[in-house]
Amino acid sequence: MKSSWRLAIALLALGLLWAGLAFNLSKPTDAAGYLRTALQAAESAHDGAATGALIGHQQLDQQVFTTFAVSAYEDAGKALAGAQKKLAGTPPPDPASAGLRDRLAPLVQAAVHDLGEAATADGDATLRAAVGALQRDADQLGALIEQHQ
Amino acid sequence: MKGGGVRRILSIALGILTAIGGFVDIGDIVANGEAGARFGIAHAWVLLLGVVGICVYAEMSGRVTAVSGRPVFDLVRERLGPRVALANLTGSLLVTVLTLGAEIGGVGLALQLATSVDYLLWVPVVAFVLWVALWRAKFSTLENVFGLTGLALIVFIIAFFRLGPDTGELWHQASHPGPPSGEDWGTYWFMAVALFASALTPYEVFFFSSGGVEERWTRKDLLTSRVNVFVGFPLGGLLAFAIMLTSATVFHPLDISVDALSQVAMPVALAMGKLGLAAAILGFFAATFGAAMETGLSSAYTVAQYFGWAWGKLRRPREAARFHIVLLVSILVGVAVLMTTIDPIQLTEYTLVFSAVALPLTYLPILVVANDRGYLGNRVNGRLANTLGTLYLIIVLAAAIAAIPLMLVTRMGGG
Amino acid sequence: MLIGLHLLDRQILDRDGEPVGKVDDVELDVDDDGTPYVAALLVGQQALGERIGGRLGAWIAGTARRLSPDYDRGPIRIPYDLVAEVDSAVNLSVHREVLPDPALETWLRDHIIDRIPGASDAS
Repeated sequence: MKSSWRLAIALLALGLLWAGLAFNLSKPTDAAGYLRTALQAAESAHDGAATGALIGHQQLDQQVFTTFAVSAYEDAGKALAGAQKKLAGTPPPDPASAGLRDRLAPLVQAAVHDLGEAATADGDATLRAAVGALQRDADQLGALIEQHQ
Repeated sequence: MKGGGVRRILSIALGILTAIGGFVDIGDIVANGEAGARFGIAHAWVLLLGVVGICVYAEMSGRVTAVSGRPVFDLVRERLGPRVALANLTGSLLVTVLTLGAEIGGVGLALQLATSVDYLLWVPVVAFVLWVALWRAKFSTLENVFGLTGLALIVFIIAFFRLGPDTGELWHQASHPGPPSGEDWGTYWFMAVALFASALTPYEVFFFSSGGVEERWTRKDLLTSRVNVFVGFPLGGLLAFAIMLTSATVFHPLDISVDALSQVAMPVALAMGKLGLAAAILGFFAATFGAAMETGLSSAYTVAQYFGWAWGKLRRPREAARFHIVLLVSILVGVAVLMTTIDPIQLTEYTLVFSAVALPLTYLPILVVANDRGYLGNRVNGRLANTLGTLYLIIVLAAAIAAIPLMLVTRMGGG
Repeated sequence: MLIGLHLLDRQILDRDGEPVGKVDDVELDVDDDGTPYVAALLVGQQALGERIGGRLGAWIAGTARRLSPDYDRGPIRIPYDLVAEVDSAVNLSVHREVLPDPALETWLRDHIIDRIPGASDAS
């Protein structure tokens, strides 16, 4: 009797925890929640773009070898992909949030594009251009984050 | 001085160097790189606190082993009884096996940086080589080789000076602990707990004391044990600090957070070019592989010592069949965790949180045993060891209680 | 001697210092005067599980019993006469070969470890 009670209570607690988690995950985000998610995505994108620019600089200065650069671009790409996924997975709850998304999404998109350019650049000139573009993306993302913090 | 004396000094020196290189593992690399990028060196005090803590407790467990001839975990069951010790074993084992997974992933990542072949393809290879090394090779040789190669991480110290750091700013960060603008106290404390756990990782004491038993330490080896602890660990902590410093110098001013191993190595490339970068990657590889050997062995040590089975890398495998099976299974579990394609860096972050939770399980019994005259005679803890030990137990408890709530509130430090 | 503090859960070593197991439980007997004394040390996960008790203990003991070649074999029993000295470990006066082999160790050795090259090489 005693142990079956204990089991029942444990199961109930587990069920409640599960339900709470499910509720938490499925409830529509409010404006504040969206802002937080968007900022996280922006920070992640900023990290990816700025890191990409850093790798590009190091490549231009002959400070890294190719295998390292390839992996490092890949890691930066993961940060950008994470940002894209976060943005795509959270629908904006109100017009103001939609406005934020409409400003952020193209920046992330541009960073993804420019990182690809840098990673596949076949000469110093193209690489330098891509690095410059990445730097601008990072700066713009940084400004956006600052503005909303 | 006779030849024996020289050899003894050489062996002590080798022990120190191995301890320095062996101190740093994937947890230290990740936690210090991340903390440096996001908070500058505002966590410097945590690292100092952690290094003193591991010294205090590693000294105790080394002394217990040298005097009683028994590894610490062996005595835990005698003093705490089979039930509590079993709970203890479960907690420590879980953390150690997860850490093993993280270390194998770290080796894979280091190899990826050197070859640009995806780390997941390296994982099975690394696991197999690891197993062969622990099955066949002369362990002390391997330990020394990887410990010494781990010293390649010294490039982080050189790189730090060559980066022309803003020492005034760094000093300001170190002397004003707290989150910089854009970060909050929650994430600051979360990072602090992770760093603290990375310095005090439980497997280090299991490994240290079990190794002492295998090398048949006696009271005469107390000095060796103490020199290893009091010189080797702080210098190892210095390497970890250098990682934090370089990250704080390069990434913090740019507001870039670090979440990949490649980023941790970038400051070195920036300061020293390809050669420095190669040394950093070699250091990552050696440190994580060495730690993978230690965590693998520690998993098997704890289980075998709880049940009283024959254990040890000096025995022929067929004379310690259960020990070697636990070792093999631990490696397989570590690989299985990685094969879920969880990011090894993320896995490392989780293991640090769980380590923090499990810390009291490791350190409370050591304090109890180190005060037991039945084992230690007149070598029980003195007043200093007990004061520090108790103080650290309180800190460790606080970190353990705070770890999970902080993880949930800060979403793994995501803010 | 306090059984609980000085004997239970202590490591057992044979005459060469090789580990035999833990004192997972003890077998008590009563002599002619009615004084209880330790007749034997019991070794193995079965004895341990039964001492831990509860659902967990039953599970440990049950698993150990199922793994042993003979279901009713019971734990390894070491007569207390074989104990030479008790210090930080329980030291036996005999070599461990004369004691019954732990079932799990034997099975793992014969079926897995021995089939891997190098199992009997010292490293």
